[in-house]
This record gives sequence, structure tokens and C-alpha cells, in this order.
Amino acid sequence: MREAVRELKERVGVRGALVMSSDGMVVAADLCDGLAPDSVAALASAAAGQARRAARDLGLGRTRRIIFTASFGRLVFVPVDELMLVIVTEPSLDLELTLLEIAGPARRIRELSRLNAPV
Amino acid sequence: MGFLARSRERIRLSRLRRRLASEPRPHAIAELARAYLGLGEAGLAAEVLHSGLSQFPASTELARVQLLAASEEGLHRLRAAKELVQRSPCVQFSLELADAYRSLGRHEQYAQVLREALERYGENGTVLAQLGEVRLRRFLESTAAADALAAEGLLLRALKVEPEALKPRFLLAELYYRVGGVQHAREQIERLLAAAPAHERAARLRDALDREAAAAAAGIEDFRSLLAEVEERMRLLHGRLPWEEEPAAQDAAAPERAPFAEPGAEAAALARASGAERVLLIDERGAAWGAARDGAFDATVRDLAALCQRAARGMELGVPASLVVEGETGAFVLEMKRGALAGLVLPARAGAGTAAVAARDSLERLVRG
Repeated sequence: MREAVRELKERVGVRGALVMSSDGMVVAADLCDGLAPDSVAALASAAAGQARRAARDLGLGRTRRIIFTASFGRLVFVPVDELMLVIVTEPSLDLELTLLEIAGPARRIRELSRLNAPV
Repeated sequence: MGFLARSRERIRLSRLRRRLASEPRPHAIAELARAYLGLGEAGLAAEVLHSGLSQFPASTELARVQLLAASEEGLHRLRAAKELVQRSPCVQFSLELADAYRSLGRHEQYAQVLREALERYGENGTVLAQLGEVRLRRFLESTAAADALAAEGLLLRALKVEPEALKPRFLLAELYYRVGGVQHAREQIERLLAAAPAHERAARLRDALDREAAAAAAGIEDFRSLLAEVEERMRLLHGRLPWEEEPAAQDAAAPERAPFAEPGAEAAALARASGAERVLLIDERGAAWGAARDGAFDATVRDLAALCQRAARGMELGVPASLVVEGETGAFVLEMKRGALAGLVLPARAGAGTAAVAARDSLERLVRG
């Protein structure tokens, strides 16, 4: 899992990535200096939870992706079964390209999470 | 080893070196080089090895010690560069550190240091060119379009910072050549050779381009179909080729709308333009239009905007601009500008990107109005 997260961070424009549980526990993280995994996970967990509740209330069904853009960075949340993959990128990076770049590692993380899931 | 012991060892090695000059033997030369390395005298070790290998070029032992010396020197350089970066951080020392990693073959750390330098010190031509080169090399191994596009982006940024720099221009030409953009490769090469006529690699690349042109003129259709295939794949992946002009933004292409007049009408126009099922516009004073009578939606939009503020502040991401929540049966788009908000609920078939552009346009007019 750590390797897959590290691989994500190698992508151009990606400042860091982390995998967390729904309650904000960090499973694996590789973030640039200045971003503490626990703080990011806590904020990301609260944000993703609220956004997912809003999506459910608005009748949008199960959340597939959450993208938050600010002037200095962008957060992409991808639910991976019971886990949540959070990627921090440059705000100016082409969104489609970012999504293309993260598709492979996200798939790998999904496979790994299934392998590690209790039977 | 103490100072005296080191001095004695140095004197002993100098004597040994003089003896070896009159009676050279590969094993003894290798021993001497190793001893110098042990003393941290990488320069002297290299000198001894150079002289030994010129006399015994087939000696595998000497070749092995030379490899060891290179690695020792690299590690020494790495330690020195790390100290420099820690003591007085600047882009030059970060480049030195990156180069030290590269010389040791630690390419992952090399790219990481460059990325950190870019993040820390902003746009720098050398850093961007080196990162572009990393991505270009990765593209040559992976042939993934994403790598080519990333390399192109980085090299163009490098040239924007330093338009006269030769390296990024050459790399850009090489990239275009590798993806089949012969004409664009030629443009870059001609420009480079005009600035530096003696650039050998550029001249070689121009020769290769000439040969390709001759082959194409001779009617080699395979080559053309290969190019077409590459271009088609890149278009599928990115919607355009790296050397094509970026399509004009949808909002720029749209006819200029009248100045913001009545917020309710603007919300209705936004719903029509975006295909949204629900639209809510909230100005910087908190007044709402559109789905304002739907209290739950109003509260959701305001709550999510507050959440974005908190997240951006907590992670030092600056000013929040947008939030898109994509669900299985639709999407929610929230655009934020100077305290004003636009919230939209879209059905699955509507494009979130188009809706976001339309919402930004409306917000722009709302805050101006």
C-alpha cells in the first residue's frame, strides 16, 4: 500500500497522497513537507464525510469522487471500498490528466485493500 | 583514526606510491587506492587509479576499485550537498543535491529533490528542464501519453522562464520527434541551431528529421499510419496533441452576456446553460436566489462552503474555489468567489465541467453586479 501511495506521489504535480479509513485513521501516506498526515487525514475525513452525506441527501447516490480546488492546491478524494484515497495536487494541473494519472495506482490500492480485508 | 595515525599512514602511502612508480603492480596499486579512499582522499585515489589503469587497462581489480571510488566520491558529494542545503537553502544547492543523487543512480530521490525545489522556490528554468528530462526519459520507457504530455508541459514552462535556454529546447524537439511531431520538432531544432550552430546533438536530430522527411516523401505509408495511430491515441487520452493550440475556454467562446441585472433571472439562466436540476445563487451578503425556498438545499450549500473554508485554512490551500461531488446518479457543483456562492445539482448526463464554467461566469457577474 505504501509503495502504491509513493508511486502516486511520483506523478508530476502530485504533492502527496494518503489512504485513510472512514474515521480518519491513516493507513498509508506520503505527503510533501508541511503537510502532516494526521492533520490532513482528520480534515479530509471530516470534509469527505460531510460531502458524502450531502450527496446522499441530494439524491446523488453513492459518491464516486470528490474534487476540491483552492488557489494553492487541489484535493481529490476517491473512495476505495471501505477506505478513502486522498490526493493533494497542484491547482493548475489539468484535472483530466490528474484523474488519468491516479486511475492506475487507485486500482492497485483497491486490489491491495481487498487482499488485506479480513475474510 | 587519530591525527598522528593519519599522518603516519599518509607518509607510508606516499613512500609506497613512489616505489610503485618504479615497479608498478596492479594489486599493489589497487591496495594503495583503497588506502587513500580509507583516508577520505578520493582525489588521490582517483589519480592513482587513473595512472594504474593506463598501465594495466585489463585489470579487473583496478576497475572494481575505480567503481568503489566513484561511489565513495558520490557519497561524499551527497553529504556535502545535504549540508549545504540544510545550512543555506537555495535553488542552486538543491540542484547540487539533486545532481549528487543522480550521479549515484538514485533517480527517485533526484526527481524528488527537483520537485521539492520547484515547490519551494517557484518556477526555475533549470529545475523545470531537469524535471522535464526525467519525464521524457520515463516516456521513452513507458511510451505512456501521460508522460509525454507531462514532459511537454514542464519543458514549455522551462522555456517560458528562460526562452534562450538550449537544453529544454533540445529536449522538447526530441520529445516531438519521438511522438511523431516532425514539423514541431523541426521548428524547435531550427530555432536551437540558429542560437547555437555548433550544437552536435541538435545537428544529429536535424539529420534524423531530414531522413524521416525523405522516407515520408518516398511514400512509406507505414510510417504515416504509425504517426496517425500515435496521434489518435494521444487525442483520445487528452483531447488534443501536445503541439496543438489549447481549445478556447468555453466561457471565452460564449457570447458576452449582458451585465448582471436580476439575480433570480441569472439563476434561471444558469440552470438553462448548465442543465442543472437545482441552482442556488448566494451573494456575499448572504441573500439567495434560485432554489432559495428549498431550505435544505440552501443549508447544504452554505454548510459545504463553510467546510471548504475550514479545509482550505487547515491545509493552507489558500482561497477555496470549487467543490465537485460526483455521485452515481448525478453531481453537485459548488463554486465560490469572494464570498458569493453558486450551488448546482446536476443529473448524471450533464457535464460537471461545463456547469462549473457557467457557474463561475454567473458568480463573476454576481460579484461585479
